[in-house]
Amino acid sequence: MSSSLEKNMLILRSSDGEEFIVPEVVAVMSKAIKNMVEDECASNTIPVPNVDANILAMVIEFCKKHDESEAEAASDLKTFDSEFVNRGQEALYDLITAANFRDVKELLDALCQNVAEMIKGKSVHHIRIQFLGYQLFEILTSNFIWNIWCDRDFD
Amino acid sequence: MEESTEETKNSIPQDIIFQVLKELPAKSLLRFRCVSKLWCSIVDSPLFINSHRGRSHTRQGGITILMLAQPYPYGPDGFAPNSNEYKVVNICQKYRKGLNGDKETGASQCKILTLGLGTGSMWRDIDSDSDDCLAILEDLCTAMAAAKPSSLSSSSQCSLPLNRCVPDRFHRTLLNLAFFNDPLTPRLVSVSASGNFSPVSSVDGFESGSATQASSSSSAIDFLTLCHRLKTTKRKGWINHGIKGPESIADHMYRMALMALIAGDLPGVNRERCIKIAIVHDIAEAIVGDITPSDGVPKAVKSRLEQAALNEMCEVLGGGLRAEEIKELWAEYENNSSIEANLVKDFDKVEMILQALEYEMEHGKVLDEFFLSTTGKFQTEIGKSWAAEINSRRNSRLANRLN
Repeated sequence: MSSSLEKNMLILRSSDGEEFIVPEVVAVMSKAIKNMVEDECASNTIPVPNVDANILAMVIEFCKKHDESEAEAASDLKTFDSEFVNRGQEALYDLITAANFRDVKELLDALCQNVAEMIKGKSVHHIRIQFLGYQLFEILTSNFIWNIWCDRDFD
Repeated sequence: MEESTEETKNSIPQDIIFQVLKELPAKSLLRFRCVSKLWCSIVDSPLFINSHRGRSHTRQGGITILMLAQPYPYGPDGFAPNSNEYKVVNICQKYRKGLNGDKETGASQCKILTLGLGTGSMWRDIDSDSDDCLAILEDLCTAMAAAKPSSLSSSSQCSLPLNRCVPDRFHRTLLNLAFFNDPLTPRLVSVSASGNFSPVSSVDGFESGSATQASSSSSAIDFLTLCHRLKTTKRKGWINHGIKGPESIADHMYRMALMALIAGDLPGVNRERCIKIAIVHDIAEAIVGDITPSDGVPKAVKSRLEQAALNEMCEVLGGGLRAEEIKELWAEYENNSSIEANLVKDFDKVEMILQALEYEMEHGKVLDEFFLSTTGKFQTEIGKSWAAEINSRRNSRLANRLN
């Protein structure tokens, strides 16, 4: 561990090379990092591939808040969570990927909850287009061919 | 392609779909079984059902239990062969969290729906504390235990064609039901039950009005997005004749609607209906495209293709009164079964020859084929006189050109 760092600090390096100095208690909210620290395979900097600085900063913000406010009222934390995850679809998916890959359970739960809220009242077609990236026309033509095929049997 | 990179960016990462689905109420889950095979297999898996149940209990506001099941002695799908009826049982039970964190049973409701010939589809309430209800519950347990999990978990009211495992009749009936029911009545909701747990699955309550609204507006926009193709699909007749940048299907339908709008009053003709028919009559071409006689597709096949496409589009629209109306208007035109349809058929041809005349003037071509194919085919006076006017203008123009 580098001498300039306090004992319980870790450096996280994002995929685009930016470094974040984070207290160990915060960093180990990621199970993946926790395992690395426990197995003592973490040198002074821990690379966090697949996660860019922007997203990593968000994840750290989330973890810090959760670490600090452990004693705080759960309802406060809930408001923070719901505000935190209220982002555009792209940032949301990047966060999900990061939380999933680094295994940050609280964050993943909050994010999944948010996605669930988003898709709850939607139609199946809408889900396929908006959230799974299907093309509406492709679905229809495939369904359509399928229907004609099925109708044949009913004649 | 740019779109395909977009695709990977805007999709839910596959490995967290399980977690996302876990947060959803059962009603959404049932609908989403149709999203893809992956989603369906997740929702159907016992592992998922158990973890979903586990979560429901911790949710705020109590939970409601709903189910669709096949009470003994009815067969699969709740079909009773002797009376030719389907029976659907819907049991709702609300739980509230007690002081010590235990569940306390709240109000419960039990309803039976009988679907069959001659019966109105109404939910019949049964006193939930009565012996009737208990007996039904017992029957359910027996039926659940006896039936194979796979047959129980078939969610019959999936309204999408992907789910074809259900007998067609049952499928249709349930769809109609959702459509005729008063919105306040609980909708038909089911939860797949499998494995060896109790016959009731915990799910959230009926979806609120706003969720329904969100879903209906999303299907409206889906439908309109689909109709965009009417604006972009060019009419094939013109392409075949080498016209550059020809009109689209929507252009054609629009001017036909205008024709109906300006047509003088005719006895026994509902002009508004003509406008509606004009707007709808080629709508199926959004999917099948413009099939012309030169494509060599038999008329019956074309009609069949378009009918299937129209059904598909109405499904995108989410069914309902409007979808029914569109189907009705389309069928009326297709079968030429009313004066209004006759008139619109004439407008179809008049619009075509008018457009042909305009292209002749614009591109200096001769498009005889369109005029010859429509000669003597007009069914109404107004169609005949408008066509005569167009023809005379064309003839005088041709005569001028020759001189």
